[in-house]
Amino acid sequence: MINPEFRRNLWLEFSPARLVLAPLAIFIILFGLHRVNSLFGHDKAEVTAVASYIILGLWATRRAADSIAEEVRAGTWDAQRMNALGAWQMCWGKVIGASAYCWYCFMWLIPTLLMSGVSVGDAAIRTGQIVIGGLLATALAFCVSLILIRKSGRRRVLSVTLAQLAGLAAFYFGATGENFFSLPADRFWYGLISVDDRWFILVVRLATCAWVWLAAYRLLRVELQFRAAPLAFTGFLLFLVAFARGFYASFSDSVTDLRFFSLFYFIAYVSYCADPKNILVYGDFFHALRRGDLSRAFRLVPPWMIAYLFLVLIALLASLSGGPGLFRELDTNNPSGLLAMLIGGRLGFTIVSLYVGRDLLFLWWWNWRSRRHGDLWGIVILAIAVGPLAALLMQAGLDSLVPILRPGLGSQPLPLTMVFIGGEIAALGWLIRRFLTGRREVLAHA
Amino acid sequence: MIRVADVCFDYPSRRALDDVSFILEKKTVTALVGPNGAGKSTLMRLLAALERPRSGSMMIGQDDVHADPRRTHRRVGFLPDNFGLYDELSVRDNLRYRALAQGMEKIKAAVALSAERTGLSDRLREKAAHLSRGLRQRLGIALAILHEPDFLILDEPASGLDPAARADLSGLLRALHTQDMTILVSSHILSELEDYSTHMLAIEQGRVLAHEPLAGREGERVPFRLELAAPHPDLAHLLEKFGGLSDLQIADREAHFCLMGDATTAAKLVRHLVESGVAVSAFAPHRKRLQDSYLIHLSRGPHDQSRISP
Repeated sequence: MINPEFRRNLWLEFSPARLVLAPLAIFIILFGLHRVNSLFGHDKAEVTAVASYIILGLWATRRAADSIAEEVRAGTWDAQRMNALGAWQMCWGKVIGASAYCWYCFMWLIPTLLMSGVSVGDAAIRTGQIVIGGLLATALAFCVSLILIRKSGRRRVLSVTLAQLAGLAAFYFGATGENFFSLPADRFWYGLISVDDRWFILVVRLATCAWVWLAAYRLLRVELQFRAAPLAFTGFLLFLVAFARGFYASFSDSVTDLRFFSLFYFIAYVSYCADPKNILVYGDFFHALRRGDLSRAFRLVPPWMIAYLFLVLIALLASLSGGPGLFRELDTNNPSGLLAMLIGGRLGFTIVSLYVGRDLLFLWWWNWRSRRHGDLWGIVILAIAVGPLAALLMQAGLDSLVPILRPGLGSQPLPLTMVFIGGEIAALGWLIRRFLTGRREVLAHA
Repeated sequence: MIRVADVCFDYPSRRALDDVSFILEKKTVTALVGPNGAGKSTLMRLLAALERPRSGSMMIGQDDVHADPRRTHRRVGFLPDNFGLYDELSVRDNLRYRALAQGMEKIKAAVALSAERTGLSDRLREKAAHLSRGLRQRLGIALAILHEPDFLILDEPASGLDPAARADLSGLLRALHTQDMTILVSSHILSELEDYSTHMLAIEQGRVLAHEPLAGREGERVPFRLELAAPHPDLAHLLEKFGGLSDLQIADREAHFCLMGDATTAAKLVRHLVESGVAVSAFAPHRKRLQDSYLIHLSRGPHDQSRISP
């Protein structure tokens, strides 16, 4: 039996008129693009690629991002949450179903690609890349849309557009033929395969696509009230550690490299922003921790805390591995470089991870203080603090106070930095505790 | 039986339900009443397992509503206040999709039955977008009862309906009640709820104000009202002679009393009076007026729930 959600989308998307209209519109668009591009000497294959970017990168991502937002707006989402479909059925039924007409239009591009003079093999590879890009992009747009709806509780045009843009970026990563990481071709992954190898790139894209689909499925599980511990997210972080480690000669080399560290630095912030920050869930989480109910605590732990834990572990490992890894690939003679301003030495990564912790605690506290655009305004305040405000302090000759705002210059004494950042973390911890205590009545039944 | 015990629910900034407890007997229609913001919709969403309470339990039969929400969804039909339809699909396709999504097997038969029960059989080809407000409400109910739920929850089903559509809806709910469904329905239009409700559950500020029957049940004392075409001097004597009566009040051509027994007992009493020469012009159970009952409880405010029983 066809997935009912997919079938419903087909009922909505396909009518006899639309079935006929697609090839006609594709022909007109291709002809137009070909006329424009022929002026610049582009071939038919490129024209087809551009058309596929428009159809799958722009249109299909919009449809996928809108698939749940539309249900919320139309008031049908509660009924969907109450039906008997599993999370996976709902997931692919929505993502593929909502973009089904775009895929149908894309199908009409394939003959054009074959007629453009490329070999059947090349056409198959290009088509495969675009399909992977499309699957990745639509699933990511769906994920981002679902996360934003969970955060805001309602449909917003901006949320859907943001989700669409994320999908578009993913489409570029998934569908273009280049080595996305721009790594040197002589670098081998675990010494096995060149990072420039076509198969390596293909497998990486397929793995990314699989993780994004898993994320969409897990998010829907939460929405449909299935039990959902952050196992997949933890698995994803472990996978990232193992995958990124493959680019280095040893584990010690990997954890002391800035790019490796930055990856988890980025994930910590993104996962924080994706969290709906429901105070009741946090209340339950802390209550479970206090009771020692670790299984329940793990089910409730916000993913950003796991991401931050990974970051701290990597920072500690980097510090224990020794060496000023932070400056491994930097020109240390250039003191104006942003990273050169960070504290070097063995504790460099650990100090930076403390500042990340400070930022996350600040954003957390700020979000509860000001629900409206909490994350956005919090990030703006932090950006002002670490940028213009720190620069002003330096201009005023108050260099020693810079560590209050961000990791200071190497010339500043480490104990002073530790006192500042330790004090800030303690103060923010106290503020958050005070906030939660003030909500004791609400949290009493946790 | 639906059993709700000590349920609390919070929104991030306020408590919506506070130690709510009640029992809904099977095959009853309970009017859920209360002012705006009292927690009616929240309570309904909790019973439909769309939200999880902070504490307390909710049971449908032997099943905990929130232990397995997906299982609850199979047993409950829910029509939210702001429900939506797939406007571009026909009535039939809206019903077909829901039947498929509920994992039902005999789709055609289920669609036909649900349409018939809600009077939509002749509208199956119409697009949902083209239906009137009343018919959309009917389709919403048809979707909610399609999978034959044990328990039907309707949140403000009459809102925005014109008087004719409301009367239509009342008829539909009465029909569903006769089909042995347990129904919880909220509305601001108390007179309309009175038409089909057997019980009233009043809540205010997240607490239960009252939960009481609006009409008597078998074996209970049921209030009756008797009207005569002409006064009868021996009416009091005749009534007392019949037995099983209490709280008798007689005024001119009208009498109020409570009668112990079922419909057969009432029929016997009428025959007894007529055969004794009493000119009976009207005789019927005197239902408590929902509105009066609600307003009395509202003026008293929330009280100890241990005194409340269905």
